[in-house]
Amino acid sequence: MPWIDWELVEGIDYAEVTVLLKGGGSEIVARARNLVPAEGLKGVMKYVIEAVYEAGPRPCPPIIVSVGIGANVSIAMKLAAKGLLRPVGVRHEDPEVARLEETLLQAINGIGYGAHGMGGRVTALDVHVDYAPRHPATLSVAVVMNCWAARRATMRVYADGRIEYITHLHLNKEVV
Amino acid sequence: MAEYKLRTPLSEDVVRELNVGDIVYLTGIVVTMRDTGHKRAVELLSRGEKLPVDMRGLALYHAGPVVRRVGDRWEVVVIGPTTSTRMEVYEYDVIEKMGVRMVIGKGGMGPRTAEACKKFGAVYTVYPGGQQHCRRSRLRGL
Repeated sequence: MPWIDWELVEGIDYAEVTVLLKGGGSEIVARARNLVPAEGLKGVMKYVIEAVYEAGPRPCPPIIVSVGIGANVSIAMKLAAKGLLRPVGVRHEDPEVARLEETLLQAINGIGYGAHGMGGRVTALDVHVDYAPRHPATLSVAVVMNCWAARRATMRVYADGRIEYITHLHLNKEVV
Repeated sequence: MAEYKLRTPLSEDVVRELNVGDIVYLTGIVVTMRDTGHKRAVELLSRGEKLPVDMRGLALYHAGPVVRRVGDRWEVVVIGPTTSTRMEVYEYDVIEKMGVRMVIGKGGMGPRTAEACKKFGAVYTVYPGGQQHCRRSRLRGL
């Protein structure tokens, strides 16, 4: 059985199911750490850039980098993993976080790994950041990467049993 | 950057001519092995036993195959590269003892493999991941 993570969302009466197929190459470079809170956002950025730098060509760049910041490493890792579901090019709704995403993307592409580490301007296609409230005593950060193929599919199962395919629209015609 | 169209079995001379950045088109017999395959091969060789395939001059592909059963045979659905660094601990022995001339994978390998390539005349090549479907169309048999 694949790992299934689920959340209850208020106000909807359908189940949205997303499958994310992830390779070992981009998973073995995932990492999480408790920073000294005083390191702040600068510490977070340093940690993320180091993670990508040390991953090198292993996660099949150009990659999608997802960062979670939270009160402990399990919260941070959950947010980071979930961030991979966000489509490339979609910024965080909070403008401050959106700016952080853009700054990180620019810094990561400055590394110059390029596709499969062959050199080039695009090492990451996008950087997604999300956060959860935390206590001043802790600052946990997690980084998860996905290869450029980013295989995923989403469908909705409605209360009356009807199924709608969100990412693979052609399936809507084939299924009665 | 030069382009080469090579065919297995590969000679040491041909492999030593290749430079970083060259593009290689390979036709012939490619044997796939990943983590456990490497481990078993190295264990067999260290006990002085024979391997089922003579790998001299052949290409070794770090592959993640997806196969399905069709009647009495296996059919390849997709066969993409897998991250090569996991095989770093075994590759020196594999190149030395099995005579592999070309390693195909992704993500690069470590200093021990580089040393073995230099010493015994082999090369590491990268096949970009995520293009499994193209590769399957060129597959003649399993």
